[in-house]
Amino acid sequence: MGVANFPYVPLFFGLYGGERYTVRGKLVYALIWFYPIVTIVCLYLAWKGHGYASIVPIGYVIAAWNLRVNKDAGLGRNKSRFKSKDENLKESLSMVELHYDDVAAMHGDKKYLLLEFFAETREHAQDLRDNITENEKIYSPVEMQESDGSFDVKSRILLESTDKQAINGMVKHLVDLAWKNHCELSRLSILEELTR
Amino acid sequence: MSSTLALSPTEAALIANNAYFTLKGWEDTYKFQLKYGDSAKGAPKPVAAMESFNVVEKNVVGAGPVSLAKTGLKNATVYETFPGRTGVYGRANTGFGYVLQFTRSFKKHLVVAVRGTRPEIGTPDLVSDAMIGGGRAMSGVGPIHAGFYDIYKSLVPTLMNIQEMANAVDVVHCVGHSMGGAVANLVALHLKLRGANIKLYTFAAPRVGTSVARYDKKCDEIIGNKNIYRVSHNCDPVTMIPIFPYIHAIPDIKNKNNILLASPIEHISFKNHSMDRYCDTIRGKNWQTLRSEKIKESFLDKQYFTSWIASDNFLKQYIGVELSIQISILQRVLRGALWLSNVFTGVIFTGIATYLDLLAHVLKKMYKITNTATSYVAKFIRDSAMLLGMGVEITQSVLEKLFRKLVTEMKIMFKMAIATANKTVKAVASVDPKIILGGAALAIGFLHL
Repeated sequence: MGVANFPYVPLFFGLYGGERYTVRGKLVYALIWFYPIVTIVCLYLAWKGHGYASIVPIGYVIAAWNLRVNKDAGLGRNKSRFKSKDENLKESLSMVELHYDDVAAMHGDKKYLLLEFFAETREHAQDLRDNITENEKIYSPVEMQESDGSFDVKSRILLESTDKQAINGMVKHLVDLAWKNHCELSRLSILEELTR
Repeated sequence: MSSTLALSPTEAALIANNAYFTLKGWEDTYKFQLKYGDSAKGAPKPVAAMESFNVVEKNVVGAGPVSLAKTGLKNATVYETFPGRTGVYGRANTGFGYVLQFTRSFKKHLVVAVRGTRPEIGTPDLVSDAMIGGGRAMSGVGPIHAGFYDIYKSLVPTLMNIQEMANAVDVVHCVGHSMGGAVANLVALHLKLRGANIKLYTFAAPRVGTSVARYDKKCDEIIGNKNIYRVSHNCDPVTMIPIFPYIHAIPDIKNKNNILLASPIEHISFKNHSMDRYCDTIRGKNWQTLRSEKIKESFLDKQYFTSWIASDNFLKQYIGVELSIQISILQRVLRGALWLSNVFTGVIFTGIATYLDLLAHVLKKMYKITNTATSYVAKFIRDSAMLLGMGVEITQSVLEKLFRKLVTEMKIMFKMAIATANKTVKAVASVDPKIILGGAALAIGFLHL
């Protein structure tokens, strides 16, 4: 009954998405499959030979757990993700690429960028918030939230043009601004004003 | 569809799909998967938190890739998004669903959409799914899957807030995919027990309550089977768990609202579980069309046959189970063989055809087809004997001899023998069908050699 009820087991080991086709993903999958055999053999050895063999299955699971893929998935983060500004900019521009298709389906008058910046300290978050409030065309007041000892700064900045180059330029400028304030741009989305 | 209170299948599917956008960062993950495929590496990961209201709103009713604006539901507005709690240790409060309102044909509708499991956020959702133990009971319903019940309890404050509104509108639609479908069951029961008019739509939902407490009957009494639309792919593993004593809201395959559809992938796979696959299956169809496309018994028979052909070990999994189940599996394999073989056109087998009826026809007809078919028969007899606990080794040459005799010389006698064996089986079935079946098969062989 137990085995039949848990087709989820590989998911616990991070085996979802493209990573399941990697060498490591396949290795972890094989380790999971072999676990019952290893357990039975070890319990037999423990019964016939030395009792310490019964510990092996536990060590086996720990080893498989440490090899699991998608280790970075989790409840959140409290430290910076990017090593450099260029890395941050590259990912931000790829986010624009992902979200730009939405612009064609938008009919609202006002379109804006929803941005989330990550800051490790309150001071840096406050500096960034003040900077954005003073210098950018904001759609709504900049919000600052604390989570797990770090800070998220959420702002909505009006788009004057929906041209892709213009949006890329604006994102580049905002990544610059974030790094000047020791923060990083962690998320972006392109939104429109919907009549509710 | 607009003349009824029910959502169309496409609307319900999009609503269920959009519920995932309440999870922070899912928008990026989803768009990445749409653009590069769900097997592409480097997809951004959602995090265990709530998404901004505006992002959810955009994806549900605005310019999102699977927005409701693409259906006829153009005047819908998102009323609120709500959090839910999953996991035990390292519990996560994440975006869990949204409440939508719209008017159609002068009727006011409210929608409560609940998201399903997302392993990308780590273990919390998975732990909730795995909490199959009892210990939780819903008032008026009975024992419930502990993980789903705990999630439902975390939604109760939201449900209390919308209860008044739910009672005031003409209908409340509770919608969810996967774990969301299971939780939507409980949300629907909660709102209905407090006076709302409910319709429940689940896609790929696992089982929620127990057969011991007659969960299916309770759902029928409280919500009414006519108000429940349970959609599932036949090779979706999640709809098969947790196993007995857990039971679905509408377990009977013959019920018109238990909509069991053919899976896009013909073997059991998590890919059949994806909400996008469900959207593809039902896109543009109404409930009536979907009902007409429901998997029929014959389809299942074909699947059993193809699984048996594809694997030498297919029947081994049924060794040791109850004899009636073994016989019904063999019957399915045989019926599948008959349906798949063109030479049997015109031979109509209904559910009442016995195992021996089918065996007789297969033995008689398959020999005529090809050597491949003959080898199927040899395999089938070997496997059947193995399944029934008989160590019979039947060689190809013995079978060929048997079939030649059967087909050319003893047609009438064969039919009579089968008819007699059938009557005998029916008369003394209570003694030991295994002995009768084995004995009949072997007797026929010896008689004609």
